[in-house]
Amino acid sequence: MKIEVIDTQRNGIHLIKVEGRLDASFSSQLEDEIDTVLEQKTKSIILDFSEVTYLSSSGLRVLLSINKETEGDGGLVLINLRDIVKKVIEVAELDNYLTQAKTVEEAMAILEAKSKAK
Amino acid sequence: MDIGARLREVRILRGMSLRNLARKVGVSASFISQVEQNKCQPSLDTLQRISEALEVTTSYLLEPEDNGVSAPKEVLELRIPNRLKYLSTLADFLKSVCQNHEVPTEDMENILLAVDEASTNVIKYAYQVGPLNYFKLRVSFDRNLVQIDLLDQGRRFNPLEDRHFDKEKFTGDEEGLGIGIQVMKKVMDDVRYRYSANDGNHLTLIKRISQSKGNGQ
Repeated sequence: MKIEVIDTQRNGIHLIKVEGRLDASFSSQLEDEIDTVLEQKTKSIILDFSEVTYLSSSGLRVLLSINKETEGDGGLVLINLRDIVKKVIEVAELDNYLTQAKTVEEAMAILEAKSKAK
Repeated sequence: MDIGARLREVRILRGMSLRNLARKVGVSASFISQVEQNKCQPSLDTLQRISEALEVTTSYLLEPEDNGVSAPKEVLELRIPNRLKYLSTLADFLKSVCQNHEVPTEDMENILLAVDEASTNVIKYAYQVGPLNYFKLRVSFDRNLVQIDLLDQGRRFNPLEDRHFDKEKFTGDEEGLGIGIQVMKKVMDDVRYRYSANDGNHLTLIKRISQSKGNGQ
């Protein structure tokens, strides 16, 4: 098993589809992939988690790190989370901290509103 | 573990008050309390009624010391290399064991999550990855309790030591934030740690299985 990251850009927003198991072994792969994205000008990121089958605290740490990195200049929105992934975020009491949306459109609206507010 | 401590442990895991148990057994709450403190010994007949009320065998309560670890009926053990890539193998193993025992999906997910967090700690902090080594995962089933023991010979590491994740102070780079511990404690009914020179680190996770046994998807 490995992490697959597919990055497409829409209106200057990165839409990244992540596939796999975000445990301590694989979440560092996600971090490495996102680090290269963060070198670019645009720091607005949507992570499509529809194919993420598991999330542990190691994966959460990576998400918090991306959140921190993008908060001043862009933003991070998670979409299509499976119940098991949502549950971990809730148990860790980070559901108010990591922005979630149901669809790409909703996520883009959140990020566009954020950039306009600056 | 002595009979008093074992009795108290099972009673609490069953979510039963002293009064509630006393009523079921037909004795006073103070009597149960004294038994739990090993201040008095119940007769064999009373002990049997206590076991019935707690839905365990009498021998389970009387079992002699075994490094403090309860020894329920079915025990499975797995030796795992201290490499993060085996976390998914471990999860597959546990999933299959839980499904065999008809553990409901939600309880199974909680067990998988807690064990994944605990094993990550063993590999990252007790062994600090380091040279190839092994840790042991022991899964025991007894009625509606699942007990998971993780034993390793890495450096002494108590995962339950206080650490609190502070979102405001997080710079984005730190590791070992304490989120995993928080998650582990929340999804299990009991988490205990002890260390001895012989056994090394020993973490015990206990989960009480919901009554809807077998209804999991």
